[in-house]
Amino acid sequence: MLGYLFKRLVSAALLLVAVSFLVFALLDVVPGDVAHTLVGDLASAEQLAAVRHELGLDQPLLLRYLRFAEGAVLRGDLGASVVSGRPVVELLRERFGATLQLALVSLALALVVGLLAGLTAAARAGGYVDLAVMAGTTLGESLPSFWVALLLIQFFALKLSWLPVFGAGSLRHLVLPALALALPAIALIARLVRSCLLDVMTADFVRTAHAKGLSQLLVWRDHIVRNAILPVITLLGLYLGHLLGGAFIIETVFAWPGLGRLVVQAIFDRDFPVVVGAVLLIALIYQVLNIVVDLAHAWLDPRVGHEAI
Amino acid sequence: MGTLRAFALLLLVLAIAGCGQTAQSPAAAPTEAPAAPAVGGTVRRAITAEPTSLDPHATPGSGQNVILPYIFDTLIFRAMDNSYQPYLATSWEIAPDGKSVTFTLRDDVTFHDGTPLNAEAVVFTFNRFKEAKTSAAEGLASMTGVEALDDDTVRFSFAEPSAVFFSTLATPYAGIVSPGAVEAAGDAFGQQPVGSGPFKFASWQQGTEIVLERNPDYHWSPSTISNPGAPYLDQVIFKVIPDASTQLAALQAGEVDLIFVNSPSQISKLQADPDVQLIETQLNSLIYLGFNCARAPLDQVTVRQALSHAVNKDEILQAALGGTGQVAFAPMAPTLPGFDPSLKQYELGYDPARASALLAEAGFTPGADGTLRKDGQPLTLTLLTFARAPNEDVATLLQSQFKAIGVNVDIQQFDTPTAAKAATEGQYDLLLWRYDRNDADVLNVNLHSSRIGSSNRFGYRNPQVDELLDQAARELDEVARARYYVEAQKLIMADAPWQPLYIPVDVLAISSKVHDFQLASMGRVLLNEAQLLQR
Amino acid sequence: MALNAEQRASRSLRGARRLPAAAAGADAPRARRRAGPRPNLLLGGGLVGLLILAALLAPLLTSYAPEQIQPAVRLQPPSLAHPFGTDAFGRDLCSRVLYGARIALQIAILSVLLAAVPGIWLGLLAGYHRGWGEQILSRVMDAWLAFPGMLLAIVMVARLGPSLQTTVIALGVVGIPSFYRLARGGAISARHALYVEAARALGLGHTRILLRHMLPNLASPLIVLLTLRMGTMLLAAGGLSFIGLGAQPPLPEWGALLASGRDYLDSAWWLAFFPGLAFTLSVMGFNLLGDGLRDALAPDTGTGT
Repeated sequence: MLGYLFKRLVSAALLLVAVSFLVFALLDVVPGDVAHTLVGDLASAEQLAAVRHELGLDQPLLLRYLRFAEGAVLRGDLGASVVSGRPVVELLRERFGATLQLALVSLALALVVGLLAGLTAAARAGGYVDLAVMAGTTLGESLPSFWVALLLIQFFALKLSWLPVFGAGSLRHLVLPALALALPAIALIARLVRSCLLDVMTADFVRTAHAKGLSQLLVWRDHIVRNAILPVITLLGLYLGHLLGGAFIIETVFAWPGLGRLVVQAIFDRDFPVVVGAVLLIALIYQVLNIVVDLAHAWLDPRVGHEAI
Repeated sequence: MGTLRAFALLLLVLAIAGCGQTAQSPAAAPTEAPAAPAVGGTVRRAITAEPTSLDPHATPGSGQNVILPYIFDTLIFRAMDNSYQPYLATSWEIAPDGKSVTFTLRDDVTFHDGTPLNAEAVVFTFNRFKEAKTSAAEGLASMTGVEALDDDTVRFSFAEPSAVFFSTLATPYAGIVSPGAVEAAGDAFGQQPVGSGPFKFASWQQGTEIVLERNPDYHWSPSTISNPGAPYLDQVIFKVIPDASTQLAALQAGEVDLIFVNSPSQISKLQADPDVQLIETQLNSLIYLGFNCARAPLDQVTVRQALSHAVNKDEILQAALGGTGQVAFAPMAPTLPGFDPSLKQYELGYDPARASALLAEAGFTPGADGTLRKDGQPLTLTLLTFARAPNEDVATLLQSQFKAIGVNVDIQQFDTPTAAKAATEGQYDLLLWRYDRNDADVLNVNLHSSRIGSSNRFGYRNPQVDELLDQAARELDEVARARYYVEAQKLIMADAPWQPLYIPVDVLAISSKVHDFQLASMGRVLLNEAQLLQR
Repeated sequence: MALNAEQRASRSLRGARRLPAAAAGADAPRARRRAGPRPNLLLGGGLVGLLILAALLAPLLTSYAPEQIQPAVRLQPPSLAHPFGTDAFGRDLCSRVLYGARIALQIAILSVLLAAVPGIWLGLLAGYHRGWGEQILSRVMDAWLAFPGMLLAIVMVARLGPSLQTTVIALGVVGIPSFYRLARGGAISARHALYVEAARALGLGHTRILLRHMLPNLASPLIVLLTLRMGTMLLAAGGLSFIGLGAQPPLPEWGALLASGRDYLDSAWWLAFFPGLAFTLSVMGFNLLGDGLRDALAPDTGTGT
């Protein structure tokens, strides 16, 4: 087990190196650079060249990358924003807090509502409740989320005045963006829970358990839920990764100060240290979540070999 | 349910806080005497782009100039009629040869950190400003030095007379900074700015808001403001809201008090709202269609003239702008010196028949599908612009207007830095662009041939125009300077590197509980005497 | 959300490995579901069919060109002449929505193909040959997947210029790893299957084995993933358009229509309603079709184990 974990951690570290180089190389081909942002719209060619030289942008890609890697590995220093001069680590910490808040609330919302809907539908499989849940979830995952966000603002914030239009700071501010982000996940979780339950409920080992005379509760706890939960955990891991990557559009609509807005603004400003730092953070989150999900699988389901994907 | 209860509680708290406020201020007494202003309260203003720094000499990124004037004061103040008024400087004198200007400063001004604003601070500021790698610093290009003659007197010297100097002084980028604070903060000054303005910097939560609070010691506002003393408001908060629709919703929900709108659909939506006042602001801006004079077939003046005649500005104004703004005919914005109504006669106005005739003259003939061709090649042009409302709509209309005379247009919308880079490199045929500049030197910057390859993105070159622009740049007499610009514009309009489209109007939408705010040039909203009143 | 489609498509495949009991016992409910009229398949197929019809017949169904500007009739509510009303330029919305179907279909099909062809091919190769090549390729794909898709798309737009083509390319490139992973997983579990061993014993070339024998056996989950991804590609393209970096005017891309209709929610509801309806129904069609196909094809995927 420990050996497996070690292997995973090593490959995660290698992956971060690959991602960081990938992002460096990718940003290198983007036209326009931060000099334009810094000097302004009507800059002269000399001004631009001077700024580029000062920032070392006129040096070769590999050299810039090595310099960055040296700082990152040796000092945990991701550099400073070229535009504001603030340390990238500090910027990421600020924004990641807001993103984490939104992601967790949205995850909780999706999990609770999705589980309830999925359980209800599975228990009444084939009935009207099932049909309604299926119809609702099909709609839920087909609506463009930016559109849902606008409608939520229009209805809950403007028509009913129940919730604030934008911003962060309180639980009330969280409700609408979390809902807009959770909607597709609610739909996915509900359907996944329903179909996994249906599969497992009629599986041989469950029939055997019933036949052995185990109580209904024990069968559900030890056999049905335990087996049906695995795909749900995988989905949750992926979904959380997706949320923590920053949901740029929803953050923009609700003026939520999250990671997504930071990165996209940084791209538009060509503030590459911030972009590189943020991409690394997002990649790290993905890796950690992947490992956690796989460990959860191994823990819940002893059949999973360590060779798992 | 918990949320609802929390909400109710919040309302209660707010109500109590609100009562406390009115009780504190005797001004809200029922007598309604205008002499006793309502003190206290917060004005929340939405900003689309969060500034990266509040250092006046750092990046002139979007959004920064909105906030700077509240924190920093300038030597002179530019009034709505573009005249210069005393501000931190009580008077100034220009040497007969025009190569030096001497300012006398107020002697009673202190920075937010308590240090005095004196000649030394001004010298420090301008040496720092001149070193800044920003395009705003270009206004100081011919400045050779600045020295303190005594504690209240400062002299600027120049290699040659500089017409653009005074307008540069009045921009927020020439705000006087506290030398002590700059030295203490170093690079972080932009995150904790210290000036001498009516409000002082309080806090900045990245991605969310910037909070300024009243400067109780303030008593040096320019004479155009009737409250010489400290502002009545406790706080001004800038809320970062990137999406225009969300800003509108926030205003309607009462979560912010002040936004700018420029989309006609939003304006008409707000017109029905009794809680909102709408005020048109005058900007020194122009939206124009630039032609790439270095690229065939636009290197032929006939083709540029033809395309100019194909543009129907009235339709753009009606359909894309909902009738706001005004049609432009000259390269100079009407609020800048050098604009002259008589230039109207040189306009290449809407005349599709003339456009077709000129294109035929240039050798283009319509093919079977109506598209103009020359040597078998269809005439297809790339229109470059940056993705910001209402550019997309204007571009769409231009596309259909050109289509009507048989010219195909591909629209390319980019984020602003990408678009700026492509424009500078001349990777376009048609450029839908805008300038916001508070000096007539905007023509020097954009159309002087010495700027080809940088800010002259049009490859436009006319020695006679260059000569007139050079003369204007050295001319300190406003009337004579304007005359040079009028002559230059006549030549420019005939050469048609630009087809001026319209003068944008940004509409200020402000909650009707905010009273006594003032507008200044460049869309500035002054809150020195603003009060919050319940209707 | 892109990953969810992958997970859904591969569920039978991975489930077969991880949950043998569940997969083996799943026949009963599947059989029950299969006996029914398969509403997902029918409804999904119907909606996608409708989308294709709209795209093909757009010129016949409307008498207006989608780009035709008529300021005289701007912002007209739906009427006989303009069944979906007109927009702020007086363009016929019905015509724009119908022609928009062509763009939607192009985005869905082309971007998915662009993701699927290299993804599947590399995945098959990696899963079949394994070894160092697979290790490296898989790490690259992991890095690719860990890279935020929206960011990649924005970077590509900055490089290539915003257009329908760029949108398609960006979405395609972002989508490669999910096909890679599915195909690789399938190839790994199939490389020792009887039919592959038999083909090898016959001395067939690797390419032939991959394309003629393995690919058809992996077809079901791949087709499901293809279909489901079409829906997510549409949503992603809409998001790009929403921030102005998608298809350029005057193309009537639905996401762009929705974005421009948002300030008219209370004054001209039709501007947002009809494009939104078309958008949602199309995404729903692809999703339902994908799910329906999975249910219909599921029993065949067990072959590998």
